[in-house]
Amino acid sequence: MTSGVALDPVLQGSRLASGPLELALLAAVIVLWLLFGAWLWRASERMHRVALAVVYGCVVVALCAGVLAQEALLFYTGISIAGYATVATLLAVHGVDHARTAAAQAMLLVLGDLILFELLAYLYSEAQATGFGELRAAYREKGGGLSFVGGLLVATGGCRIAGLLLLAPLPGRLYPWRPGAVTGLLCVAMVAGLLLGVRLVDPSLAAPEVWYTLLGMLGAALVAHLLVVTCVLSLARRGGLLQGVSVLASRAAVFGAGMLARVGELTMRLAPRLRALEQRFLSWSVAVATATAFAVLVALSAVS
Amino acid sequence: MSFLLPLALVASSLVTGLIIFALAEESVRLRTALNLLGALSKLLLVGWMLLGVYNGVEYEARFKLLPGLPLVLRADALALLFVTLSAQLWFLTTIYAVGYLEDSPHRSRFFGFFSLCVTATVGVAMAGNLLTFIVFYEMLTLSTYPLVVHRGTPVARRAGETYLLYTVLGGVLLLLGAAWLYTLTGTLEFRPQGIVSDLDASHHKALVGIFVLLIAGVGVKAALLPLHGWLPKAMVAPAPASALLHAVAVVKAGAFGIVRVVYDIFGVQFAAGLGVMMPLAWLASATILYGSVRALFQDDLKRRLAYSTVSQVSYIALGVALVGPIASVGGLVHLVHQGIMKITLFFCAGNLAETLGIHKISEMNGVGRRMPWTMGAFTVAALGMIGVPPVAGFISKWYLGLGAMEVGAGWVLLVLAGSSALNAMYFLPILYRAWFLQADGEWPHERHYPRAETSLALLIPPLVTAALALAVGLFASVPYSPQEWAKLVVLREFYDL
Repeated sequence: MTSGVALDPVLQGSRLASGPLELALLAAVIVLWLLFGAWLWRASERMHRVALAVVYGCVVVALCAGVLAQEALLFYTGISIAGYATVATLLAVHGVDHARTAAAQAMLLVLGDLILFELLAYLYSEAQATGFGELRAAYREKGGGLSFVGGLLVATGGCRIAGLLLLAPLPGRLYPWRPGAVTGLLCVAMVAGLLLGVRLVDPSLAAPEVWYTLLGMLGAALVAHLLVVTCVLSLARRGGLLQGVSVLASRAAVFGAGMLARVGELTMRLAPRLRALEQRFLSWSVAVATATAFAVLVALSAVS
Repeated sequence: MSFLLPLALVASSLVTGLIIFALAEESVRLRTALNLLGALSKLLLVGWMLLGVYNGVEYEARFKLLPGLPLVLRADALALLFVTLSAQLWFLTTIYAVGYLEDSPHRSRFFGFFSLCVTATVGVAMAGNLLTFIVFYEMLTLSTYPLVVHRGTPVARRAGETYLLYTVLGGVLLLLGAAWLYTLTGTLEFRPQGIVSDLDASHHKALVGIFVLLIAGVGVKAALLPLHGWLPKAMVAPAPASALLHAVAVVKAGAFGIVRVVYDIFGVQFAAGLGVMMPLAWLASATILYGSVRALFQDDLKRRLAYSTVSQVSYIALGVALVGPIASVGGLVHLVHQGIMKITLFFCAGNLAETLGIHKISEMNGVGRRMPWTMGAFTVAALGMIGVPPVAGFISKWYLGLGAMEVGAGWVLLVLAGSSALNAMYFLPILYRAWFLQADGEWPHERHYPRAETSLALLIPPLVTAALALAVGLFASVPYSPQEWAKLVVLREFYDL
């Protein structure tokens, strides 16, 4: 019936699989989901719990689908829904105070999704399939790292991670709200951007190119974040801009992007704020998120 | 039987409409029963024909009209793609309209023309030649005009005049094109790979002229730039009529007409050889971006949806104009997907107007908490319009993107990305207002219903169409799905199978 037009079925026949990499990520997602879910349940008003449960449930189901997907369109579906549902969760928890940041996050999400769409369409034209194996081969064929497709990959991952950066506490009252319990969960959603790099470049994490790609994504995230902070959140003041740049650079150091020398300075600068956060019983969530992120990194290293 | 079925399909709504005209205004139950019976019988007939056409049965009814120019009704795969959409959405729109117009005057008139409008749509879809197409196309114009001016207000009358001006002009262009075509070919019959491919190169300019006339003629209803002006003005019509205009009948008839002209009059490869397809693709792309930009600045919800239609319908023309099988699948399947998503949005807009008196986006703060089911359906359809997977809109955009890469038109990916970004910019703020902002106070004209947030007749149709939008996205590749039908059409056009 269909000879002559070869169309890969979209989503049907998509496979979920759980290798060591997937299991490590799945464990991280579920641990964070339970921890922050319990916190949210306790902290939220009774009348909002149903709505919160719906969007929060969407986040975890979509994230798990994205993590376990062995095919690009299911992965795309998973991380896309997880992204939107996470922004909705944040809005449900923080209310209108979060509106401007949510707008920026939504913008980054949409931008990331669109670039990912372009990337997948571009790779599909070479691979004629949406399985990660075929797409990986096409990615290598199209030039990999320093090429147009490499740029698209770095940009899409960067957009997702930039959404995460918007949630971190910054000095100078850049944002009208403070991070809450879902910060850690959002880490996972945005790390999905990094996962795309791993999937398309080298799932075994053995090739140096995958690490360069991940670092490239972090760099792209800093640029995207800066653009959003200046353009969308209207940070026109030069002082504020410089402050933003300084803090972003510091965060790049935390992520291991080669500026370890500034960690001490950063710690000194953030110490009073961290103490303040601790007093508000919020710091534990960030700590758990960071610890889990490190655990995931350790697990990934072990896998490789 | 192959002769009777096309006739029965047209008659099921025609007879219903004529009887309804004769009914007294007070015969509410009888009118409702007739409406539902007509819609249900059409749905069953379409199901029967779907099975037949999928298995290779040919349905055709032919009558003498003019010497050498018969009236032909034929059910091919392309016709059934459109007819199935119309029949399904007509059934749901009928239920919705019964609830929406519960206390309104002139219901017999409304439902009579409503049925005639669907009759004309089915005729347009099943037309076996250009003459039949024009007859039903004009019938569609005349039967939708009373729906546009139904409220009888000065604004409605002015909108109706604009609508008539545009569509009659479109009809004239179509007729001129058809007459010119007949002088060259001696036939107006629709055929796979077209009817003009035997003409030699000396007719090149004439064929380009005919193409421009025919596309301009159908482009008015398809709201192609710059012929779109009537659509936003026609938003004064009641919500069921708007739903009909945007998702079931008028705009879709125009888009369908573009497909027919390209596929069955010129043939897609021949049209590409004439050099007319790339300009059509550019025009469609310009319309896609223009409609989205204009939608951004509308505070009236229905006007924003109208400009969104201007943009989204051109995806169909774009898919066809790219001259590749995969892009064509993307364009054709959007004929159905856009219809399902857009009718959901219009149903929801109608629910907000009817239940809370909300017409503007700036009045929608907190409406998600007051009407969660309606806004849930709206959310699904809006996300689909943006192209978020797995809702139906993603499938269309995915195949359009792949098709563009297949034919080396990478710039189309930028158009798709730009359009999706603009869609996000005008739909996400609505969702934010509805779900996360507090209501400003009293709603403009709130009505309470005992069993649900609104009348069940108004609530069930958008819920069903939202579920359909999800289902056709999730199960895009199952047999009999819109995507499989689009594939059948493309196989016939590109591979003569």
